[in-house]
Order: sequence, then C-alpha cells, then structure tokens
Amino acid sequence: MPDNQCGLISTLFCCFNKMVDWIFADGVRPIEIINALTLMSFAIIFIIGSVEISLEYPYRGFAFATAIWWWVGMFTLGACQWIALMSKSVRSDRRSAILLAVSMVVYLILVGLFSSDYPPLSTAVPIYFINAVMCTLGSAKRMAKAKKVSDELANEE
Amino acid sequence: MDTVTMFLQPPLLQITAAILGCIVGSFAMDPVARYGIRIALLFTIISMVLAGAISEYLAVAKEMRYVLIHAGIGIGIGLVCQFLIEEIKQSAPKFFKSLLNILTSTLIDNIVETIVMFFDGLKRKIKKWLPK
Repeated sequence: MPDNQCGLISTLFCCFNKMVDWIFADGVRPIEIINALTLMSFAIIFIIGSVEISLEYPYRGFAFATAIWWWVGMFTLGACQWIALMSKSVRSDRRSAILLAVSMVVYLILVGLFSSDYPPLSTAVPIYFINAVMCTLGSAKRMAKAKKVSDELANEE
Repeated sequence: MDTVTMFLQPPLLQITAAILGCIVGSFAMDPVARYGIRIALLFTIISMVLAGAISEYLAVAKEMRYVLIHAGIGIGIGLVCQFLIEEIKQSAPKFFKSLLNILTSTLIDNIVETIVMFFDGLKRKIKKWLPK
C-alpha cells in the first residue's frame, strides 16, 4: 500500500514536472495557454448569464452582445487556439500566430467595451490591453519562427 | 476647412485611425521583401477595407469612440492579413503562384499599359499643338 501511494505521488509529481516543462519550453506557449483559457472562460461565463451580467458595472457596455453567437464565436476562437497549441507542426504554429493576432483584435474590442462604461475606472481595461499587447508580440514571434522553419525546409528540398 | 472638420468627427476619425493602423500592421514584418510589392499591396488593401468596416460598425452601432483602440484594431487586422499571405503561400502554393501570375501578368500590367497609353496620347496631342 505505501509503495502504491509513493508510486502515485511520484507519478503525479512527474506529471506536474512534465506539464511545467511543456508550458515553459517555448517563450510563446504561456501566452497561447493564457489566451486560449481566457477566451474560453470569458465566453462560458457570458453564455451562462450574459443578460444578468450586462446589467452590472463594468459590463454595461456588453448590453448589445446578449446574443449567444458572439460568445460561441469567442469560445470557438479559444478552442481553435487550444487545438493549434496541442499539435506540433509548422502549420499549427502559423495558425496559432494567426489566432493570436485575431485574439488581439478581440481583446481590444473588449477594452473598448469596458472603457465605454467609464466612469468609474475599471481594472479590466489595462488587464485586457496588456493581454492584447502580449498576444501581438507572441503572434509576431511565433510567425517569425514558423517562417524561418519553412524557409529552412524549402532550402533542404 | 470643412473637410478637416468632417474628418475630425466620428465615425470618420475612427475609421481613418483604423486604416492608418492597418497600414502600420500590414507593413510591420516587411512583407514587401518576402512576397513582393504586388501581393503585399493587395492584402493591405483587403485589410484596410476590413478594418474600415469593423471600425465603422463599432463606432456607429456600438458608439465606441476611442481613437487609439480603433488604431489598435487596425494594426491587428493588418497583422492578420499579413499572416494570411504566409498561410496561403505555404498551404496552397499553387493558388499563391496563380494569384501572383494574375497580378503580374494581367491586372497590374493592364493598368500600367492603360496609364502609359493615356500619357502617350496626351504627349501626341501636346506635340500637335506645339509649333514646329
């Protein structure tokens, strides 16, 4: 029994270490993970109760987006980002870069909607703005790497 | 003066900001050196149209008036369109080559030929009028 427990704990630690290594193996991957999870969680919360949420501060700017399709689209974007993140190929890297750039536009629209509920000031504005900036930088880096790899492959051929 | 005043009012100011941002985003990663001026310009024009449309929708229908946010949205759309060139080039190289052929062999050449013909005609007319 203690052996089994030790085995389970060591397996869990091993999984944890593997997960940490996987997340931080690449500079852009943490941004992709944060982006995918943020988009999906934001969309799920609004799918569940967009009508009630949009009545309260600082979400009053979202009053026009009570239709579920806005949030289904946002969830799909996050899910696509997650799928692109999971696969290992140059193609998935390129698509991940495109999705990061699209996410940047989505975050900036969110910044605009949050800031339309001013006054008072909202902490959501700088948070989503920083998210948007990081997505832009991450997408540029990801695409530059994908271009380099595809050029190298073309030269080999 | 009226034109300037008109441009400084919403939604034209926001649309202009989005289009300018789009130009910055489209040429951010030097697409001219990689894909050529024709392809880069074509996708810049497409992204400018897209950015203008989205900006107008947000400014008019949703009353989002912050100019810098519109410029940022423009930069994002410009980047997306620039990345799409790479995606098309790598995923559908035949389509990319045919697009390049169309742009180089027909459309642009026709436009250039038309412009050259127009100026030739103009030159001939001026020569006729000039004393010999």
